[in-house]
Amino acid sequence: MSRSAQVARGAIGLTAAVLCSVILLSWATDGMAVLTTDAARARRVLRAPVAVPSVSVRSSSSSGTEHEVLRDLTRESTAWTSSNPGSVRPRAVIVDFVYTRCITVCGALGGVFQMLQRNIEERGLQDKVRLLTVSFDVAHDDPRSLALYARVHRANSEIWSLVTPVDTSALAQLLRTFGVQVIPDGAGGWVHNAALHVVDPHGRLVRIVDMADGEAALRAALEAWDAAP
Amino acid sequence: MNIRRCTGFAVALLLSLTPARDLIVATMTGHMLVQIPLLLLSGFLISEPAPVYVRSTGLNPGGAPGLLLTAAIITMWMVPRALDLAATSDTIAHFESGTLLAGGVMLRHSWRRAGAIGQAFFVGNLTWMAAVAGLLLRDAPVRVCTTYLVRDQLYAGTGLLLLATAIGVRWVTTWLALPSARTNPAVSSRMVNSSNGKRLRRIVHGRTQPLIASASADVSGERLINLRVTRGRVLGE
Repeated sequence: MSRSAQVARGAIGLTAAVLCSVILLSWATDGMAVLTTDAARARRVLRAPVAVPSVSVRSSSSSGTEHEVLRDLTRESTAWTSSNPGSVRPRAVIVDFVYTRCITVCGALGGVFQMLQRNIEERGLQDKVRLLTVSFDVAHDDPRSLALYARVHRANSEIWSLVTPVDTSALAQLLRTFGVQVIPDGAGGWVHNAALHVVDPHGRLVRIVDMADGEAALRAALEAWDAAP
Repeated sequence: MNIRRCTGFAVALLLSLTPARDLIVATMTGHMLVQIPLLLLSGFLISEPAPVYVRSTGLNPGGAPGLLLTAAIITMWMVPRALDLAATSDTIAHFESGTLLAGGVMLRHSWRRAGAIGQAFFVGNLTWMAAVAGLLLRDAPVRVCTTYLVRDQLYAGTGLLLLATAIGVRWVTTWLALPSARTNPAVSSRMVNSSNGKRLRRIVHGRTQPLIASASADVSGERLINLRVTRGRVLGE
């Protein structure tokens, strides 16, 4: 191999290595933008809103085997408006995921939702934004547990509703769509990535914000409400 | 096939295709400090240092492209999102095994050719990055992986910090302790040039005879880094 051919080959090898490195690192970081799964998920949703799946849920107010469809709930079709006849125009929804036996992050989330509810009441936003808590503890959280959680956190049923999927397959679908991962904490409970999920009046997940940033979630929800026809 | 290679294959198979993998990656510590390093190591064991069929392509001058890509692969699997993906998807898990094995192979192909400077860059950058990642994991106020617990994150961070320090210290001490022939091609070639035939044979473990006859051959022995032997003249590579 001549000297110049050697140099050319070396340059090709080096260029290929640089290119492959950039591709691999871009893949891992979603285009050098994020380091964590949560950040990637928030970014994805911001770029391309995701439709909330049509899974069956039981709410804190339902009895026996009665259930509603979450997608309808977020879009406020007949199922929802019958219990809330005052509102005609669908509202934006801020959704969080908890399990009622949780004593750590879910309690904090409950606090954030309480604060949001107070905010909504004080600023008279109840016709634009509402709150939805979804429990992922399908086995334990029946309508009664949900109602207890609602009472503990002084949930105003006009603003804040609580549901749990009817079965584990519905739950899995829901968690996948919202990008929530639930893992056992090794002490009988669970750990999950907690965030505030903003669903627009069309039933599309449009924004995911940090659970500590209730104000940003409310702002995003109002934007989503304004943007909807 | 020697014992070293067999071990490499066995570990690679065990870590990529058996339930052992699921057990190991069930914790962040297992994933970052057992799975990833062992896969790299098995790739390293499977291959041989700078084989002729790689060197003759001329695509890996001084081992730089190989070390660069290996560093990128190691960096990639330190990203929390990548760890999450590999822990939750089988496809990504196979991708992880494949890239890390390839990284180990490339590391072996490139290591000796890189010389002291290249090796210093590689080890310096990676250990520094791993140590910083370890510190960040230890201090992170939240979980960075959605798959792993916060306690696990603390262990993994501490382990990463210790591993990085151990590798860094080990490399520096090895480098200081050994004669420069080990890592400095210029010195080694001078040494071989100035020596007589007896010394040369001793150095390359009796493989000198056929190799000197060929125009460009791999005479990498156990003691010396790769040498290129051209018409009786031995050049550092």
